[in-house]
Amino acid sequence: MNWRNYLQPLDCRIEAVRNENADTLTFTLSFKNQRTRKVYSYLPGQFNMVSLMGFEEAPLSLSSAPGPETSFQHTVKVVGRLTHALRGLQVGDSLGIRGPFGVPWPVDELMGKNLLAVAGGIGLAPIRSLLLHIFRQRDKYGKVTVFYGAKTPREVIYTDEFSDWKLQPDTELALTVDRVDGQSWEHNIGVVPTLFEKVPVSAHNSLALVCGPEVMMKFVLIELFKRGFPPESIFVSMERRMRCGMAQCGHCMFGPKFVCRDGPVFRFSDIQHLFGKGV
Amino acid sequence: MLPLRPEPSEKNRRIPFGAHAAVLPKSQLPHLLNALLEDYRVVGPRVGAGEIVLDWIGSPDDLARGYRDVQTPGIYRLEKAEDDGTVFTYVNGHESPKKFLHPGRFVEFVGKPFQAEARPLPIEEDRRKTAFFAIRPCDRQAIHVLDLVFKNAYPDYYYCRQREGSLLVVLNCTATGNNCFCVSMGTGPRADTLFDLALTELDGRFLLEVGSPEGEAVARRLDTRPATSEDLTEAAQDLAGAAASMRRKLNTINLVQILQGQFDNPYWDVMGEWCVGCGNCTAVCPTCFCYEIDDTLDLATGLVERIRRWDVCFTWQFTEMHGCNTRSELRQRYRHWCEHKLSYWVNQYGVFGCVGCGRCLTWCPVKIDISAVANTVRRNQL
Repeated sequence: MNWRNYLQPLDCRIEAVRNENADTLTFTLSFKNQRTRKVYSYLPGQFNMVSLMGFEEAPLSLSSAPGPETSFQHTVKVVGRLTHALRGLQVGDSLGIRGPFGVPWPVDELMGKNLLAVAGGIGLAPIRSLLLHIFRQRDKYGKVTVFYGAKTPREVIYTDEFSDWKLQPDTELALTVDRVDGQSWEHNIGVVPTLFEKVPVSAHNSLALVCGPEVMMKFVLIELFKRGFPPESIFVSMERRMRCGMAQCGHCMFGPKFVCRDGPVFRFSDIQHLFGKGV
Repeated sequence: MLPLRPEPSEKNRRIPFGAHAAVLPKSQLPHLLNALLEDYRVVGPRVGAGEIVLDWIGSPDDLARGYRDVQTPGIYRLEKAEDDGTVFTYVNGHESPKKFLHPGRFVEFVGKPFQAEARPLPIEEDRRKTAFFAIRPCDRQAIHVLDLVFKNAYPDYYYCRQREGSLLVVLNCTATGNNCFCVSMGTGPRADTLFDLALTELDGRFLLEVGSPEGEAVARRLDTRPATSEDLTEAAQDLAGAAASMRRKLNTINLVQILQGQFDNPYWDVMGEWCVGCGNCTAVCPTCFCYEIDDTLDLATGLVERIRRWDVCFTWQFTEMHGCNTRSELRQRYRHWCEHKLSYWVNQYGVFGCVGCGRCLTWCPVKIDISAVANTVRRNQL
C-alpha cells in the first residue's frame, strides 16, 4: 500500500520579503509545484507548518487572505531557532510548507454581524488575514472595530496598511502600546484592555475575535463579558507548541482538545472550562 | 470474520469465547512459530539483559523459556523458573509493540542544512509483514489505541507502513502480574476483539482461538484438534481465576467527567511533590504516542537528519513556547498525563488511553500507581 507522507514539507519559493519592523518580516510564498499551487487553498485563521532543514518546523498563521493569487503570506516574528534562520533568507530562496491545518475563523457565521477584532503583538497576523478577507466583500459584514496593541511603537506591525484599513466603510481601528520609549506616538498608551475605556463597544449583534498572548486574552475576555458578550459570541485563537499539525505529536493538547486540529480558533464557550487552568 | 483494522467509527466486533477454538498440544508450539516465520517477520518475548524483552525472533528457540519475572511497585526482577511444563512463566517486560509500530527514534527525512528539500530515506528491503507473537491482551488493546491515534484523517506514513498487514497472536493471561489492572480497564485477561490468533495456556496444551482469516491461514497448517467443552471449561476457569486474582483496581465509573472537574484538586499538588518527572512511565507506556522532531546535523555527511523520537510530557520543554509555558509546574504535568490517559483520551478516541498493563508502576522509581491516584482523586473530589 502506498501511504502518503503528510509530514513531507513541500518546496515553496520566497517571492517577496517585507520588513514589518526590526524583528518581524512578512514572507510572500508560492509552491514550486504548479499542481500544488493550484489545489492549495486556505481560510483566515488557519496555519502552515513551516520547515527549514536543520531548524525543524514551526506552526505559523497565514497572514494573507485567500484570493485569486496563488501566493500566500506568513508574518514571522524572530524569536526562536527557526525564525532566526528565516531572517537570513532572501527572495528566491526555498522554504518547506505543510498545510493548511486547523479550524479557521468562522467566516460564514461572521456575515451580517458587527465584529470586534482584538489583537496583541504578532497576534495581528491571523486577524489581518480575516480583515483582508472581509474587506474583499465588505458589504457582507457589519461594523468592523479593530483593537490592536503592541509593547512599544517599535513593535507595531502592518503600519503601512492601517490607512487602507481605515478607509474601508464603517471600519474603526484603535491602536495602543504598553509604553513609549521616546518614540512619537499619537494613539493610546496602555495595555490592550484599556482601549475598551476609550472606544465604546456594543455586544448587540456582535461577535468578538481575539488573538494574542494568553494573559492579554484573559483581561480582554473580562472586558468583553462586562460589555455583555456571551462566551458563545467570542472566538479566540490559541497558541501551543506543535510538531505535526495533525493531532499526532501530542504537544498542542489543551485539555481534551488538540489545538492543531480542534483549534487554533475556538468558540470560547467550548474551552471556557479549560482556559487558564494550565491544562 | 472480524475487520482487522477497524475505523474509529466502527464498533469492534466481539468474538465469543470458544467461537473458533482448537487445541494445540504444547509440542506444536515450535510449529506455530515456524508457520509464522514462513510468511512474517516475528516479534516475540525473548530474554534480554535481566528482563523479558520484545524482539525479533528467528527460530522457536529464541522464545524466552525458563525464567520467571517478579514485579512489584518500582521493582522488576527476572529469576530462573522451575520447569513444571509451563511455557509462559512471565508477563510483560517494559517493551511493548509500540517499539516496532512507533519506534523511539528514527530518521524521517534527510536534507541539506538551510534548505527546504526533505528527502525520505529509501524504503528497507524486507517488506514482509510483522507478526506479534504472544503479546498480552493489554498490548493488543494498546495497538488498537495507537491505530486510533495514527490512522486519523492524516494517516501517519511511518506507523501505517509498520502496522499494515501485521498479525496479532495474543497470549491470554492465566496468571497475572502484581501490578496489572486490566480487568478494571476492560482489556483482559482474555482478548475478545482484534486478534488474529489467541492462545490460552492450559495443562499440557494451548487453547487456540481464531479471530480472522489471516489467523486461520496460519492455524490450518498446524496439527490441532477441535476444542471440547472440557478444554473450554478449563480455559474459562483459568481466565476467571486470573481475573479474580487481580487485586489492583481502578474505578472507571464516570471517571472521564470526574477527572475533568478536578483540575483544581489539591491532590495534584501532592502528586507534583511525589512525582520526580523522569518520564519512565511515558517511555514504557504502550500507548504514549507523543513525539518530538529534532533536526540533527551529521558531521560526516554534512546533511541534516530530521529525527522523530518519543517525547515526554513531564519535561518542561514539552509545552514551552516563546515567552510562556502552559504547564510550567510538575503538578500540572503529572495531572496532564493522568487526565489524558484516563479522561481526555475517551473524548478524543472513545477509549481509555490506559490499558491496565501496570508498566508505569513497575518502572516508576517512586512507585506511583495511576490506579491509586485516580481512586484517590475520586474519593477527594472538590
